[in-house]
Amino acid sequence: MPSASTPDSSAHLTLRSRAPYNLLPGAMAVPTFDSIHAVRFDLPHGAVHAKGDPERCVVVPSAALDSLIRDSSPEAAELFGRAWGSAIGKRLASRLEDAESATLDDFVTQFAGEAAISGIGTVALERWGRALVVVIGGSPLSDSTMESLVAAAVEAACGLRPVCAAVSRDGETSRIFAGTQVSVDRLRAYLGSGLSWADAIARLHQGAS
Amino acid sequence: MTPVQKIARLEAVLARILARAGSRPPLGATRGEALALRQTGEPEKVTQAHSESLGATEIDPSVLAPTESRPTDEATRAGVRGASSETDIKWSSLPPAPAPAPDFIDGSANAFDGADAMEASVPVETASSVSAADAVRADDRAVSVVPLRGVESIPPSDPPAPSELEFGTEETGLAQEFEASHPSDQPPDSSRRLLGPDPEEQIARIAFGKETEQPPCHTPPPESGRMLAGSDSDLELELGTKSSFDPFEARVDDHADDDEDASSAPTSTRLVVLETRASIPSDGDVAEVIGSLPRHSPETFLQALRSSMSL
Repeated sequence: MPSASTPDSSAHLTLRSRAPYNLLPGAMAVPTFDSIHAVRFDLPHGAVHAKGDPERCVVVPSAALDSLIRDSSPEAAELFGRAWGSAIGKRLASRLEDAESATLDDFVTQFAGEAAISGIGTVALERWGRALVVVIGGSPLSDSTMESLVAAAVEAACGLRPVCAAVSRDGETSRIFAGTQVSVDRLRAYLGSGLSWADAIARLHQGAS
Repeated sequence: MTPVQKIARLEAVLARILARAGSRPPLGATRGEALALRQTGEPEKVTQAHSESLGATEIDPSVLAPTESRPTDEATRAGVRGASSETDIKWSSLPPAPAPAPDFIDGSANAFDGADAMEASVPVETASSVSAADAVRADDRAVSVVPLRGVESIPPSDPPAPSELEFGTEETGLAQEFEASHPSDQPPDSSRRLLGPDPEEQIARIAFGKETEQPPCHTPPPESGRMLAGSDSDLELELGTKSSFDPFEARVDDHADDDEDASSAPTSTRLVVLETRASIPSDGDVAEVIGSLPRHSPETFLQALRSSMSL
């Protein structure tokens, strides 16, 4: 895996992060995530419900999930991730009034809120040129599971189904590129040839129209 | 007195004579003009020409006297035949007695023989000589003298009346004669200093009309005050430890020494860098920016996703 540090060859690409901003309240319209009653624990019925999703949720230890995904086939792990991501995407879509007109800040804010409630880690967005990269931090899941989870969540939220591929893993931070199957194949080919993830993304722009 | 000093004195006399002659209009022109008009029977024009010449310049009777004291019938008949393109000046048996200036016009017997009196080159074109060219040929100008330049002139005084002066052949003898006739004009040797060029060259220039470049008579004395210290290279040059720089010659000398004596001590050759630098101005607009950086700033997440999926 290429290192997460930014090489010099990718200096022409501008990093645009969409991490939550620490702005003064009331200074401008900052999208916020409404976390009130985001998770409802029905103690009499022994059920857990997430806001905006009628289906029950289960609080599962991450070690159990790791063992489950590790012992399962890739297809099963992908299906597991897609199912989980689709549920997150539906809740995200319910929070966004208009998913098509949602700005990057709005989307990443709600996406990050839902990811935090689900316990999969922090979510941020990076744009390297035209490439959109979702940064997942502190996730207990593997990269392959996160690829399917992010793709399903985005598809459930805005209707487009991207093909995601993890391009880097730096400690607890994973970068997942969102594109098409063709671009993901090229990107993986570049990464397999020894290029860093940033060079691979930069090379991806050379063949684009 | 040495011959050089004699020659110098002789030159001084010659220069004085030439200077006095050069300050006056050419006498030969007006006189020859008058003779020609007289032969053609036009006395009015003769008087007019003479009056014009007298009105233009003042004629020193002492200068005019010798020229008209030798009438010649031949000159009367043929006018004045003066060679105006030579520098030789020849006086022969000139009587010392002066005569009134206007008398030379009266009487045909006082014809002027310019060739016998004075012959000079490089005529000076004055107003009288130019106006007389309409009536008289230019060859009739018997005397035309140009003052010499660069010759030390002595304040004018009464011209000497030597019995016989010959210029051009026996300068030394003439100098001795002149010295004998005028012992009082000779200043003491200690006070004489030759300011002009070499006398031999000056005489040759006067006689043959050669113009030679004259070296400066004096060089200014060095300026007083503090002197600038010389550089190390100058000191080495003075001490003989460093020769004038020429890398090619230095290499050639080294090879020559090797050929001559291989066992001799090696010659230290000091090579100096000859730099050739380009002068590139630094104030020009070197960089040129064309267009602007394309910015990809999608407003919505969907646009960003579509843009990423277009890769």
